[in-house]
Amino acid sequence: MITLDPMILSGYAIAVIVLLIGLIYGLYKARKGERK
Amino acid sequence: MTFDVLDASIIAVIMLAVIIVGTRGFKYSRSLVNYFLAGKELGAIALAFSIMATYFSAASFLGGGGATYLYNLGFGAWLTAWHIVGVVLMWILVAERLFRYASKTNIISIPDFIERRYESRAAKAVSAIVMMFLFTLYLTSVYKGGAIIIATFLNTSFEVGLMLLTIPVLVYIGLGGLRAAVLNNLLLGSLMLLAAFLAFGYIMSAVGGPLEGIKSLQEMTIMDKMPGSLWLKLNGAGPSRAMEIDMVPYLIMGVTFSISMAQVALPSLLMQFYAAKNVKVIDGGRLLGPVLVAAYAIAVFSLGAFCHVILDHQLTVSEVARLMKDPDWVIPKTVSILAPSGVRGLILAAPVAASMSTLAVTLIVLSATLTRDVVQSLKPKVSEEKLVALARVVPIAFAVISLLLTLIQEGIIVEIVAAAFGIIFVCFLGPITIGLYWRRATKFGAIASMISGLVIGLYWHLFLYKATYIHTVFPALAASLLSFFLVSLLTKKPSSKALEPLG
Repeated sequence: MITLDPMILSGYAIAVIVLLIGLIYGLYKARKGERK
Repeated sequence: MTFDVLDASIIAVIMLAVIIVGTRGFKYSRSLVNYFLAGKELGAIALAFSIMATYFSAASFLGGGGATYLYNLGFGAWLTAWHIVGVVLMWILVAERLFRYASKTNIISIPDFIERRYESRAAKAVSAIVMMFLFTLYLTSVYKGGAIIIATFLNTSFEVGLMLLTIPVLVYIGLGGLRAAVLNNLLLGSLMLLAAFLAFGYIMSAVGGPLEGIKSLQEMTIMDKMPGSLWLKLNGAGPSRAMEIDMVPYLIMGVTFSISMAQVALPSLLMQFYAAKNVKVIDGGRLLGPVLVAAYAIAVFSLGAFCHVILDHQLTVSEVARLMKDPDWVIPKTVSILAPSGVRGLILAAPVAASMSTLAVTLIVLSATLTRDVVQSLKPKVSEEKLVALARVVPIAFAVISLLLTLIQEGIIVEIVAAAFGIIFVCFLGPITIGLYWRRATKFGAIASMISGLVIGLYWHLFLYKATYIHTVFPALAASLLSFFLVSLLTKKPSSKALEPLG
């Protein structure tokens, strides 16, 4: 069984979550810009 | 490592291609705005690729890729995480504000921004000096990775490798300025991403995928004494001294944070936002920029640990120990075993491409600083034609100085970049990034922030970093931000005219 430190896993998890937040915010700003 | 004619010819084609692209920018680079800011006509794809390629130097592929051969996988995980945090913050917090500011004020360089924002020639002068000093030091690490690969490919000396890396860059930025650099960055950035995916694909298929690779690593014993499970714990594998004093997690967090967060205040990235065609370009870049950085980071930064599974049974214990001391060679060595001729050349062209793209924009930023902020400030009557001619040749002077420094330096690439990047980030985080938002920031606060960041950063890195393993960025950032806020609050508010372009 693989035992990967949660502190390592949380690094990868933060990477994915922050990227998703960035993309959602980017889409929101782009849509808002189009409406103006 | 063996490379054949096909591998070497890939490097030759790249060198030729970047010069040809450079010639295309020549007729568009005859005014200062056109030379330094590509006529302010950059689109989203070009801008996002250029910023990614400028930011990632050879160290990202060699040092970043090989680092987890020495450090545990936590280094790769947190280097990826902080990179994504940094790039998202840069595109969300800085890009649009700085673009709008530049559009309203017609600034060209970063010291121009400092002068206009703080209404101070002294702050501008300090920022120009700090930038020229730190970027010249930083360039020494940029050269290294690319030149070492060229020298190995072509079976020549490191010095010849340096020349072959630098001359094409000087030719194309001399001819086409930022337009040539950005067009080339689109080409070189695409090559870097392709190489990252190929390296990831070859290494992962060799170990049977990430999970199987981790399992094999866990069951290994590295150098007959270290259990492979040490690579799966944040407080596991790392430099031996840091392991002895139980500082590996702090070291990993310090190094990865300082390299990655530099994105939010690195002048060579931020100046490119001035060159966007319109705000829609920023909207597009906000989506594409983080994806590019994330794709590269995820593909490259965790590869080194898996290379133990591939390389170690083919090496002696002392060869593994030598590689762990200088992990920059881990990826080239692994790729040269796994990939066939031609593909191997394509993958290992990535650090050369990465060096060229970083070198080009950094030299343009240095040229803008000297031409615009020093020469034009001291002699305002010099014609624009003469200034553009000067701007084309100034990179040669900076290239020569940093080449000489490169020849007398030692050390692994990632550490040098960490120090220079870290201190640049520290010096400009307050004056540029926070200064875009905090209206109370004053010229004295900005000057105090830059000087204290530089002095504390250098002192800590030279005398205390190796003894404490507390990364230079943290004490330097504390000193720089403390002085930025305190001195700003204690000195006279900026005038409303100075704050007008902030909106």
